[in-house]
Amino acid sequence: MLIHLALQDGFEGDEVAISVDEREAYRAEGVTTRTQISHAADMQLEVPDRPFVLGVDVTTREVRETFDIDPHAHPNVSVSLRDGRLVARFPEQIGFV
Amino acid sequence: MKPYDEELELLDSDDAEDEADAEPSSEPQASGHPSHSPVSGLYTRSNPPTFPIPFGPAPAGIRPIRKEEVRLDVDGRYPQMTVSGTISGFLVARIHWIAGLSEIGANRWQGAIWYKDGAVASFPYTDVEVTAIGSHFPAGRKLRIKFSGGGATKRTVVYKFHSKYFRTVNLEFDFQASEVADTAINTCAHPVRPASLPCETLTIPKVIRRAGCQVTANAGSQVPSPPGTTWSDMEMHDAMQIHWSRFANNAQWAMWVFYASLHEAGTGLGGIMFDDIGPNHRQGTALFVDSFIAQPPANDPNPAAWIDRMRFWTAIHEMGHSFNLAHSWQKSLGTAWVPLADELEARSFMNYPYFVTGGQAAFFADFEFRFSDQELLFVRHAPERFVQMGNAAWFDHHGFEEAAVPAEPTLQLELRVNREQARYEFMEPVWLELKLKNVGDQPRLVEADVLDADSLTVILKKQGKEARQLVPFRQKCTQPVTKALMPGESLYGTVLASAGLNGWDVAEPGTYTIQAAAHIGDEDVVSLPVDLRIAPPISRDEEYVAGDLFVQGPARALALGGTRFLDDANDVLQEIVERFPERRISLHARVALGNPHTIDYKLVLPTDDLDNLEIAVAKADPGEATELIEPVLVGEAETALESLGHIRYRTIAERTAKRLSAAGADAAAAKTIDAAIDALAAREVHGKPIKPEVIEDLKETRKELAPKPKAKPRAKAKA
Repeated sequence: MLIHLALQDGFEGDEVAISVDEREAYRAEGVTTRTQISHAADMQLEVPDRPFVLGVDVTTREVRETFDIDPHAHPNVSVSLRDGRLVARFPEQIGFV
Repeated sequence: MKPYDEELELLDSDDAEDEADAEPSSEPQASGHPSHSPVSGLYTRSNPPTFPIPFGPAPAGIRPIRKEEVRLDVDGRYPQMTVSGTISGFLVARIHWIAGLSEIGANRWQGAIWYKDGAVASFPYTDVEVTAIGSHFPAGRKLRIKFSGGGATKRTVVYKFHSKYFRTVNLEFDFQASEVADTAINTCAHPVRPASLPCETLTIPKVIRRAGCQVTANAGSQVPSPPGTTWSDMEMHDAMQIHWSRFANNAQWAMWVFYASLHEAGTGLGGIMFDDIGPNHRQGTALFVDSFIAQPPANDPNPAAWIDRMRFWTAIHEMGHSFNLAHSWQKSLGTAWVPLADELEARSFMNYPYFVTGGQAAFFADFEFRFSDQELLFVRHAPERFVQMGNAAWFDHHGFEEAAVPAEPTLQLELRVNREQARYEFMEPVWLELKLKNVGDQPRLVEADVLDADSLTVILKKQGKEARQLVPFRQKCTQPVTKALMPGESLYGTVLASAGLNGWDVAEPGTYTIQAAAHIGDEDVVSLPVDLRIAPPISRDEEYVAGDLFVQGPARALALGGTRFLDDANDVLQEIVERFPERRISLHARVALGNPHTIDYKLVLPTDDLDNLEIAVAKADPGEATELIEPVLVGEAETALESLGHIRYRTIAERTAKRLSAAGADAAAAKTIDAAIDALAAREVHGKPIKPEVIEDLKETRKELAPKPKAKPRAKAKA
């Protein structure tokens, strides 16, 4: 199944790798937040139809975090880099304004 | 440009209710009397009289005060119990302060100043006491504020009511062909809403007014575009420049709102403040009416109303970004104007409805179509440069961006050096000339002393350093005399830019930019900047004596035409005359040393017993004066004309000649005036000669002084 993942605040020219159950699913360089829409990147991720571990690795800052996600309960995930830590939120919808 | 409701007729009777909210009571109000009439709004004080007795002392360093604004925010919609103020000096010194308020009586509040910005060293106060004075008429409404604390003398200022709004912003809603700029909503159209929410037709301008901003608007227009057009940020920026009637490359209280179908990024982008391109950000916003904001949740009870509300919310959300408001969860990020806390659950235009706990239904169930308190505090009370659309780092490269320059000025101010190249020798005083010309077709009334140094604002900026304002030595206190400046007529003046009460600001070798503004009523007439260069010293001796010259005493003597009192200053000038006779500073030193000898010079001295003061008169000494000044005005006339400047040279020559004549030195007087006539007649700068009437005036003076001219000495040119 698919979930909608958004990288939001706190990124600036970063290399970011996303993994699903430790398997890399996305990697991008130069990830930068446009603060007026709180958007750095967003993507549809193919994930298992069961709880899984989402890994987010900001390699340029040596910041890494994992989140246990139930895709049925949280089909939308937003991740921000705040105070040197990766923080996840689970909004009802992903959309930027 | 008219207020929004007059221009577009989009407002209904409920706006009249808004207006009525702040109308003055029909009952007379006085200080200390109970009042139910709103008193919040903008109060101002501008162009204070020459004698500021009723207003109390101005903060040191903000002299003269040009304008003060105060925003009282204690009633009406969403009161923040705050008063804030902005004190503007003549363009370079600005103080912004904010105080929280507690009520201490009817129409009386007090509180501590918790925020200061700008020239805060000049504003030591820590507390305010505010009294609102009601009146039948808005013009009679006043605010009295007592500033205290900080070890400063108390300061009481009375401000006049100006507006019930804190700011004024201009809006323009343009739209892509086939789209509609719908700026109104029925607040009760959707069933998911606060039970207490009044049902009304709410417009975008009304929301902005409730945030504290008066709204004016331009008629919206269509942006031609083929069906299916999607937009990039750059394309919208281009469209803004073409279609926005107010577009300008400068900060202004105005924004462009573009209703488009879709961004090129797709349906996931509902709107954007796209204007982070170029030097003036936050002027342009867009919402994408066919994006996800037009996709209601499944089983929504009123999908059409949901869409209308999301579009309305999105438009104002983007406009909030133009006011420099961040998202509710971003408050603690970046560089906030004051430390802020995130507002993850705020029911604000700046929060995403679908990000709060419980999702968009929970958001709209409590949403009252408003900004949060900390957002309102920012919009209403933060320093203008933080909030105003398009504003950027202020002053250093924009010395006069705050100037009140009319759209079609009829006065023109020219600042000039009157020499072929704007280069000055080391230690040579920089005297600049000013010309104020009426370029309109109607006479203009100006004060006769409008070009005096203490009437002007002169900004001095050495390359690589912060700009400074010239504070001239002479601060006169006189009854204004008005002069009619006829079309095409000019007024002339001079100003010593080198030194003032601030010290020697234009003295060290290097490149300087100087700009001046004359102030006529509420109008600022700003000159183009003049760049000039101070050469380095040519010897260690010059460097050494410069240390003695670049202090207050010699500067005063040079600026004020000499002294018989400041002996130390005269010693320095005399040393310069003797040691550096070939340098231009010696010309200025000779004039300053010689001038006091042209008249009977009064000195206020202590009596022998030191108990009293008496006036002693040092008699004029034409011989000494001639010995000092004649080598300048006659012997070095051409060089003196350039270094002293045309206006000063002529003034000094004429004055000296008259005084010498009065003292019986007719021959010296005639020699001086003849040299001036010759030098001025021969003078050209950039191919332009001196105006013939100047020469004619001097010839008239010559006739008055000595009817029969003697042999004219020729002015010697200095190599």
